[in-house]
Amino acid sequence: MWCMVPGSTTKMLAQMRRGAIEYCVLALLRDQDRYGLELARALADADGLVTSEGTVYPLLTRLRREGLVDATWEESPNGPPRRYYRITKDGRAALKAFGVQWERFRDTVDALLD
Amino acid sequence: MTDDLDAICAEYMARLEAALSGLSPGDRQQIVEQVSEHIASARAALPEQTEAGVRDILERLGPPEEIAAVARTEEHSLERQGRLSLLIAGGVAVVLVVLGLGLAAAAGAFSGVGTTTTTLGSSTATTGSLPGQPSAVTVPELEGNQLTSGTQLLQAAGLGFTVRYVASDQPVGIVLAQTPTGGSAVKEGTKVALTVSGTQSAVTVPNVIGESQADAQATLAQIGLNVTVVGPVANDQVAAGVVFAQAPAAGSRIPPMSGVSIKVSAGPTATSTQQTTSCAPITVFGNSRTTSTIPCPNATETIFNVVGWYTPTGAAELSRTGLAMAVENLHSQTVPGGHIVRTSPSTGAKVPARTTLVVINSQGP
Repeated sequence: MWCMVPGSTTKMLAQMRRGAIEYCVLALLRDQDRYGLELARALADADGLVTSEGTVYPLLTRLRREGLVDATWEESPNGPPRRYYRITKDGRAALKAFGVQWERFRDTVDALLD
Repeated sequence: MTDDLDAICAEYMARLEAALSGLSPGDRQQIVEQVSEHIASARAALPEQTEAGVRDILERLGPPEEIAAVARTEEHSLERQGRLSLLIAGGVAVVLVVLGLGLAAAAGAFSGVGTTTTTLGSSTATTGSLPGQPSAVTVPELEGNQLTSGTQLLQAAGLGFTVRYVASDQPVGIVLAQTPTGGSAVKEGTKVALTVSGTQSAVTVPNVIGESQADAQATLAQIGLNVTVVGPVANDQVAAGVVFAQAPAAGSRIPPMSGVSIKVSAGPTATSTQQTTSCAPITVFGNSRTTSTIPCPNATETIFNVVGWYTPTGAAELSRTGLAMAVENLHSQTVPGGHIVRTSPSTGAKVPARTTLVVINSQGP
């Protein structure tokens, strides 16, 4: 099938990731605050949700600008102090709204694919 | 050895700053700081400071150009609700592709949403080139332009490009040279080799004394300097809201993105009671001078660790504790330029509020 050539698969995954990635960040922050490196590594380790860890920072910058995430400094036991990211009330609301839409969307797609 | 590793990291950061040129200064600075912190944390976690370890960290971060490409899409991204529907629209398009229902529809959806993963040069090589014989195009003149606007011109002309970053006295992101030169006639799809300023060795501090606070901030921010406003401080000679002191002085050559403090007048001195009730930070310029300050009652501050921090960030965080601050520059073999070498008094010291803290900023080797 033509769409299975590697280039198209990469593109397809990039497409699908783009809309969902920020909510994955919010989801990672739902139960605990995390610092940048930790967050970037968690996303990279989650089946390559991000292929380049650095791309999470422009995203975090926007999420902070939109008030979905805020940041505080904390001392680190080893190394420089860390900026910990925390989900805000608005962030939780956005995550919740996404969860509802995502389920519907996923079910629709699944039904079409079956 | 550590020097070499620092140099590798500094080179990566310079490439990132150059790639981010054209973004809003606020976003650019935040991304640079966050990536710089990422590297510092990741290096602190290395069992041994080896070149392989550092290269692995940078490899995992990804090419600076890719981070910049994402930053551009983020900057122009739609509002939240818009994005959600975009995801659904994009997803539906993907489903169509999977079902093999429409090649044209899929192509439309992909091009409509744009691509996140951009590799310099290769993304432009395909742009606008239809199958068939390549036609001749004229290479635009790019020297002195911003890389971002230059690449747009190349893209519009149907040309690709490669970028090589070098240190120069030009601002980061400025095209220094190009091959073929502007005006040459070449085949469509040809890659133009660009030499771009990746590290600016120094910027000249302008004079902002006598300007309003807003004007001074705008002037300094425009050339990429970080502004710390001190005051308002009572001053009998200067009207309220006007800058009456700055550090470093006008004409100083300092690393790009380093901090400049400006002192803003509050107008003539009010009653002394007004001063005793406020414990606003007072900054002195140069560590040999002290200001006469009214001590804040029973306040001490512990100096937290800012060694290795990006200097503007470290200074901003420290100034929040109400400490006065003076920045001094020195050459360091171990701390990259624009980062804090040490403070005096040093980390952990307990000092009375309003003590003048000296932050030693690295100017690089």
